[in-house]
Amino acid sequence: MKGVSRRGFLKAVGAGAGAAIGTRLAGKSFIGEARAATPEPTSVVVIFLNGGINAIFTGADAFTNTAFGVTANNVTNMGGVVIDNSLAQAIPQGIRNRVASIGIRHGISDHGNAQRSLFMSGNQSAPLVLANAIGGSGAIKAAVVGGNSLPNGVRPAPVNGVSLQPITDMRATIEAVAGAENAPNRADREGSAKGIVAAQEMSKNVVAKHGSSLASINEGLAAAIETLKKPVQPFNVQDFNQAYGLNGTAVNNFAARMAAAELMVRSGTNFVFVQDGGWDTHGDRNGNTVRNMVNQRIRPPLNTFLTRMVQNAADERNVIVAIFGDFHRSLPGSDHQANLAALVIGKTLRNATTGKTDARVGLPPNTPGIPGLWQLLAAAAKVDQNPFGNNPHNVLA
Amino acid sequence: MMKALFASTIVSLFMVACVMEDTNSLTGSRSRGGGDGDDPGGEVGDGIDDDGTTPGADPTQPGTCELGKPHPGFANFDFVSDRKAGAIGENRRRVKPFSALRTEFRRALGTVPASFDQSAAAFGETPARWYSEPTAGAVSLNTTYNLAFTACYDTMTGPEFEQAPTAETAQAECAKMQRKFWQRTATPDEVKACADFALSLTEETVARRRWAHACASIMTSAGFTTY
Repeated sequence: MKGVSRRGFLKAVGAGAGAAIGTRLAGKSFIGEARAATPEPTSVVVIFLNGGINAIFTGADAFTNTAFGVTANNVTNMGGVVIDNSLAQAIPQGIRNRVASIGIRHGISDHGNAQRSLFMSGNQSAPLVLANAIGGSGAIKAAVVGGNSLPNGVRPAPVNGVSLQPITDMRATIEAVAGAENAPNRADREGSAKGIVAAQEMSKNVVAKHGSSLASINEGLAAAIETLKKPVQPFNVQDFNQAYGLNGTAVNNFAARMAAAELMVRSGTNFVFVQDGGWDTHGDRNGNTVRNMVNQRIRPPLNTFLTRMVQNAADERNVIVAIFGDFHRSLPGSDHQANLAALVIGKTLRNATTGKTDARVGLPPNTPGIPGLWQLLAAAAKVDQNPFGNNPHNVLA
Repeated sequence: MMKALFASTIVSLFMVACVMEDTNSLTGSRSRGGGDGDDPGGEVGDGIDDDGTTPGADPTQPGTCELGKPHPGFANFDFVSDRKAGAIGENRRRVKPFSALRTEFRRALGTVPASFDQSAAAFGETPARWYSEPTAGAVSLNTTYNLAFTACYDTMTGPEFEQAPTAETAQAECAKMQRKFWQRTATPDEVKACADFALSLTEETVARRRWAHACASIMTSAGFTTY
């Protein structure tokens, strides 16, 4: 014990205990059931551009000097993955070799069908299947930030107890995972956990009779109990506000959604859904409408998130970000193309593409469909058993 | 004269026959037994009539009476045949929106906690002129509990809350609060769940806080957060 002070020893023991509590291998007696389905804390963050995604963000070199205003000077080549500068500038230099694009030939050109189908796996919710497969010890395993549903208003049925939880306020979410301030008239965490268990017991007759219309009550009570049973995780809303340039705590714009996504990733959520509206860009023949939207509201917070959660946290967690929309925009008028590609970023990926279109926004006939997207995401998350099947996209590092 | 009497009798018999025909068959609707036709979610009567009902069966359950008609289309396929019958009165309750909670807090406790307005975002914001079905989640329910605890604690100033709950007082106060907050009488199981919780908080040294927890748990339950 030479050179180790008593205080240092106690600190080391404390750190070890903390690590044991924090690890995914901790036993049930510590923090409830923890499943080690992935080798490290893992999160998949889907950024969904509601309306569609222009192919200049997944394979711009198909249109050089021919369409969507693409030239050799307004794109960035990341090892063969060529994307418009507006989005490229959101990706930190340190992870530009971890960017891939994958094709999805879904054959759908109407919004409702595309939005429903992209998030289904058979008759189950693909995001919840993935969140369940990732395992981990997070109390909230799947979250939608800044809303309460997947696209098209879909509120999926739980998968193996994993439900989609809405996150609409940073302060309230931090209070749930970190506890509120102490005061005589403020509820303590332990009492609250027991109290919500009692509320659940008192609700069971009502919820049993109204199982569909009160599904969110049933799922919410269960998730609240799990959240309050977990060890306190210290977060400071001011840190998030400063990093993402926010003023309030409501999750009501894209920057706030990315801040909330970071909060959920750090609190152990496996799947986070972030949505941005206004991408049904008919008539955007030169691509400037979508470039401006990326520059003005997507790029700054996305850059902050990618820097903090993918680049700087690579040693401690595996965070995969997938950006896609309903479908690509077609030529010449930026209408509905019956395919799309997703831009996928994360440390388990490499520069490669299966999503580069031809000059008419077409994908090769052998391009995988929607299942391929989820097969790839699960493989990138390194789940021990891929619930969607083998990954058909050769883009993993 | 006899001919006129005979003719009028025949006409009268036709008219009676028309009146005795099931009037609902003309509109396509069916009899609901003794139930309250204006409120399909209301309590129904014995639910037994001779229109497809099963005597002795639970009238709220599907299959005990035939509701709806077949809609055959091409190839005589009934395109509503895969619709599942729902039990009467089920899946009618909805989550109360945040905008309703202010008056609900005031009705239940006579006050609204000071932090109430700051909590709106935790329940989700609906854009102006839009409607979205309110839903609950872990965060909104935790927030409800916190708000309720504060409001309960602040209003529980009577001498009855200075003493820690006992088996008797817990039962009595829980039943009283449940009746007021839920606007219905709680079942024995529901009263027991509340009372057991109040009695279990033995590590809480402040009696008033124990009562506030019991109160908050009732206000976080579906009896209060839904309608």
